[in-house]
Amino acid sequence: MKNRLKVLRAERDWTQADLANALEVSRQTINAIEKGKFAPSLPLAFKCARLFQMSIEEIFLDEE
Amino acid sequence: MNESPNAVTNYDKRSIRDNLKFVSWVFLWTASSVISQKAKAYGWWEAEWITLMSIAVNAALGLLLVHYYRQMLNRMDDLQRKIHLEAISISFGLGLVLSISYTILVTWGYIINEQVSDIFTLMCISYAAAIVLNTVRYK
Repeated sequence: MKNRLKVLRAERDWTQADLANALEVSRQTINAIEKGKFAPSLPLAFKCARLFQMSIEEIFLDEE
Repeated sequence: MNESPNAVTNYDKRSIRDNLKFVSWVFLWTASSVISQKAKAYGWWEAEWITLMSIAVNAALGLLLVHYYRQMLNRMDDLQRKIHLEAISISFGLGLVLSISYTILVTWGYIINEQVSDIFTLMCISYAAAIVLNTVRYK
């Protein structure tokens, strides 16, 4: 699943560790999501949306 | 915006604490298993009720270990939980399939000194290997 996490993170000058701390997950999880290797669960997607004050669809892009 | 692959997050700190507690539970359970198995063989005590008590303590510690592992799984983040659940399914599947093959080998006399711990060891090794492989895969 494609997503804009890396771009949104860069805009705020956050490291992966900063984002991981904000979302209470491991840095490995952030890295895997950014690289599209792993699709987050719905609760984690909502958490991202709340953190960036955006809708889920603005962050995560459905490739189908 | 530097990416430090070694940056330790709050989640990592909590995860390390959880893993250390898990290892402590495993150590306690393993120690109680050894005590309840070897005590009678080496004559550490005579009374039957102490042997039965040591087996009960071992079973209780095993159940507490399972309970703690379940709690630990629930505290993991999405990716870590996926990695561990996949490892559990691989280990359980291999244990199930290979225990049947093992039983057939024992039945036909290809294995003479059969031990249940052989399957247990295989499951532990496959679980650990699956965790390492999945961790590398999602790196």
